[in-house]
Parts: sequence; structure tokens; C-alpha cells
Amino acid sequence: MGKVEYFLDNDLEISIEAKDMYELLHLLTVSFKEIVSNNFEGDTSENRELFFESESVDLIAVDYMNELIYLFDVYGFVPVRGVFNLFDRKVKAELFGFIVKREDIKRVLKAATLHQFTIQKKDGNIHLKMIVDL
Amino acid sequence: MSVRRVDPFTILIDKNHKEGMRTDVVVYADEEIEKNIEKDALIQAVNVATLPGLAGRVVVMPDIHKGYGFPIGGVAAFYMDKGIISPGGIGYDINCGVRLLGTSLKVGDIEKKKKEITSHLYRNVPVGVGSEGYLRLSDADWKGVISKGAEWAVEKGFGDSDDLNFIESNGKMLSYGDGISNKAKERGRSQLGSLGSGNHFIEVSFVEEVYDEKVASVFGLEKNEVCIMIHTGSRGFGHQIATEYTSIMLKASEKYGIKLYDKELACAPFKSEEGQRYFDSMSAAANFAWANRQILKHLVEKSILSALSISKQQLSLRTIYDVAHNIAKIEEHNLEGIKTKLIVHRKGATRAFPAQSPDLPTSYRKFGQPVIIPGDMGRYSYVLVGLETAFEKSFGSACHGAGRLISRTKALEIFKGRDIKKELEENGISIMANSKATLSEEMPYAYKDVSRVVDVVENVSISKKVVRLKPVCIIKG
Repeated sequence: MGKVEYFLDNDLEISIEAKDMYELLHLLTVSFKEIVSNNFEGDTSENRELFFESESVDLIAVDYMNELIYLFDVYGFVPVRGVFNLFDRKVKAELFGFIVKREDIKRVLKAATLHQFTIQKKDGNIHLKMIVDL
Repeated sequence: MSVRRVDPFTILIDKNHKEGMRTDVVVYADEEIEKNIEKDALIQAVNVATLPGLAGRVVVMPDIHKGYGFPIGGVAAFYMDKGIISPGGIGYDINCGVRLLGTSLKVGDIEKKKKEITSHLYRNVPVGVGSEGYLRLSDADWKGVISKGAEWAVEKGFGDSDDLNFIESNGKMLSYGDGISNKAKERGRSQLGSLGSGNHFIEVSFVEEVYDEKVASVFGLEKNEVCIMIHTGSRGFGHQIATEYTSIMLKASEKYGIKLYDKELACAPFKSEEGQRYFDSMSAAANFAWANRQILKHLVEKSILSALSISKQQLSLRTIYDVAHNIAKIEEHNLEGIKTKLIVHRKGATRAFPAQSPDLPTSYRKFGQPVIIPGDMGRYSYVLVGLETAFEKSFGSACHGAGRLISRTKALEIFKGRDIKKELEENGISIMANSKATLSEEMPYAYKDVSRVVDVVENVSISKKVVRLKPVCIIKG
């Protein structure tokens, strides 16, 4: 089972340990919901499809986070879970979640950055560290 | 890190300090400010000095703190033909900036109405997380906003055309908008005319002290005059453009063989296709921000008129000046006696042009450009004027604010249990914010003392003080 830790300060620092990219994207999804919304229910009445191609496999997590930020900023969409398909640098995702009420918005994220971004394979797991601008 | 102090207000990091540096780094800071400079911020300044095509030195202002890529408070100029442009040298909030408005009111006129003013502002101005403006931009509107900026807002009935003379670049930069994604437009579509959150604010203040009567008079500022400051930027539109182009520039850096000491310094030659598309898109975002502040000026006017039940004429709200502090501009600077066009990046730094600059409104040209420096929400802000030496020392740039002293988390810890709103009210400041957490995070003492920052800038003769403003009403996201 993977781990995710996040630390909120002047920006948001996310650290993830996952067995593979699928688990990594799942953990990003779950932590996104916790970070932006006070709604703790698992409402999945809304769904959104994502498709994007990253410049490299290493940047998939950053690009995915930015896709979530876009969906949240434009539609108020908060994902609860996702089904992911990865083909090399391409990602197809079907996300299930809810539209957040304004009073339940905890925090607005500006952009996932490349600042001190690291992703590496260690002890059979993927270790990622990402900074998100608030 | 070896850092050499060359005088009481200047620190020099020599270009031989680190392999790859092409020029020196100059940091304007006194000894007290130096004690609190994050090491990472200096490392970032050193990394900027490795980028190709730099003109002169990399300059850092006394409100320096750690950013992404460039430090905040950083200024770097590049040659147009062999230099680069980098989104990291502008920031995610493109054209985050400040507009200062003057009025015919004196502080005595509003003393008993502070709460009304604050609540009318809070009611009328979309503010806080998830805030949206009253407008929904159509495709035709987008064309106008992207290409005309503040002028588009005036055409739509927000403010008047006289405002445009008192905005940096007259509130618009040339942009065709060809490189802007639909995603960026979708993010910005409902956010034009909104303040946002975090450290964005609208503040009603009064002129507490006048340092230069002559220049103050030219700017239309006098003792006890009520002024209003609007601090906000390009909202989600700018953020999305910055996000997309950071990724594009990362690939471009590899394509053009540019070594990056920090991925957030991702860049491309200014004259490359990628460089030109980014500059055009950045200009579009800058125009959005100027249109945004123009619309907010209209909402401020509406709020104060209704709070005080006075006429437009009695209020006489006017734009004193509007400055960007996250932007890249093409400017002509004197380099070793030769007038040279450069692409000047200012990230958390404000343009501070001196007298005789043709870019300034006619009425200010004899004296110089107003430089608006907001402080924290409890203490004071300043209006400075640009000086001739600024060209030589900082490519005509000054600081932009106070800079954080302690992190948001630390601020929440230290001020836990305190009623910040009540404390500010006891000090004569009426405030409304979206959340108590915002108030604690943005607590006055979470920021450096802006007077110290401004004193450094004055001591190195980049700008000099004209007036000091004291806040009386604030709304924050």
C-alpha cells in the first residue's frame, strides 16, 4: 500500500511512495480531494474524462495534478477516484467525483510546479516529491 | 555560499562564485534584512546568472524571498537577439500588480463609516477562494480582453479613458493571442472582475505622511487624503498560461541546448517560435490583469458611493498609477553608452522609471513614475518615485512589497487563538476576509517591515519616498 504525505506551508509539498504509476495517480487523486475540499463524503455522481500526453513519463504526475487543478478551477470538480490507462507518455483517465460547493472549498491550488520536483525508483517503489503553488 | 558586502546596502555575489555563472548578482539589502534572507533565494539568484544572453548583472531587491526559478524580488535583463525569455522570471500570477486610486475625501470624512465601506466592498467585490466575476466572457470578449486589456474594460463601461494614461503601458501590451489554449480561456472566463484570494486585497488608506510635497502634489496626493489600493493579477488565466509554457519551455531548453540549473528556469531564445509565443501569451495575460483591475476600480467606486451616500463628483475617484510586478517588458536601456533593447524580467519587482521617461503620463514626466509599494495589512504602504540612478542600478526597477518573514504555517501556529480581526479593529482598521485562516496567515508580523525595504531602495537611490499610507479598511480573500 502506497503512502502520501503533504505539507502545507507557503506552498504545498506532496511526497508519495507508490508501487507503480497507477497507484501514484490514485494517491494523487485522493490527496487532491483532501487538500481542496472539506467535503469528506465519497460522492461520485459526476465524472470527467481526461486525456493528455506528457513530455516524458517522469512528468506525468505534474501534468496530471495540473489537469486536476484545471477541472477544479473551471468546474469545481473534485475527484474521489479514477480509472487510469497509461500508454508510454499518454494518460487516459476516467474520474468520478463531485462538484464542490463554495462553502466546502478549503484551498485553491494555482499550479503544480517543477520546483524541486523529483521522481525516482527506489527499493522497488516510485518516490515522488512535488511542490504546488497556492 | 560566499557573499561579499560592498556597502551598507549592497551585497555582491561574484560571477566566479559558481561554475556556469555568466555575470554577478547584486542584492540590495541592509544587514538586518540580510540576516533573514533564505539561502535558497540566493541560490536561485545565482542560478539565474547562468542563463544565456544576460545583459548586465542579475539584480535582487530587499524584499527577496524564495520563488520558483527566479527568486521573488528578482530582475534580469536579456539581449533580444541572443537572450532568452523564461516564464519562471515572471511568475505564475502574470501581471500581479497594484493600482493606486486617489479621491477627494479626507480621512475625517470616512472615520465613522469604515465598517460600512468595508462591508460594501466585501459585498460588491468578488473575493476569496473560488470567487468569480459578474462577467462571462464570450469569444468576442476574449479577443478584446487579450488585445486591448484595460481599454476593453473602459469600452465596456468600467471607468473612463483617462485611467489608461495612468496605467503602466497604458494598460495593454501587443498580443494576438494565437498561442493561448482553450483551457486558459476557460479558467479565466468567469474570473474577470474578481479579486482572488491569498495575499490579494483591496485596501482603503489615507496619506499619513508626506515626504516630498512637490512630487506628492503632482501625483495628486496630499496629507490625510483617502486612497485605495487594489492588489491582484491575472487569476486562473495567467496561471494556466504559465503552467503550459513552463512545460513547453522545458522541452525548448533541451532543443536549444540551454543548460538549466533549475527546471523552473525553463526558457527559450526570445526570438524563437516558443519564445515569441510565450511573450505574446504573457502579454495577453498581462492585459487580462489590467482589465481586471480596471473593472475592480469600477466596483470600488460603486461600493464607496453607496457606503457614504455621496456623488461621483464628491468622490472624484481617479487612477494615480497602476504597476505590474510580475512581467517581462521590451525596454531600451543604456548599456556601456549604447542604447540597447532588452527583455527585462521583473518577478516581484516594480518598474521605477525616472523623470523624462517617454512612457510616463505627461503630467508625471517632469518628476518620474509613481512606484506603489504595499506593506502588510496592519502597518503602512508607500508611494515612491523612480530616480535616474535606477536605470544604472536595476534596469529601472524597485521592490514590490514587504516579502514574507514567517511561513503561513508558522503564522497560523503563532497567532492561534488570537482574534486578529479584533486586534486590527482596535488599531483603527476595519477588515473583512473570507476566512480566519487568511487573517492569521496574512497577519502584519508575518511580513517584513516594508519601511525597511523601502529605506534600502531609497538609500541605493533607485526610488525615493513620496508619501506613506496608513490602512483603515481592508478586504481580503
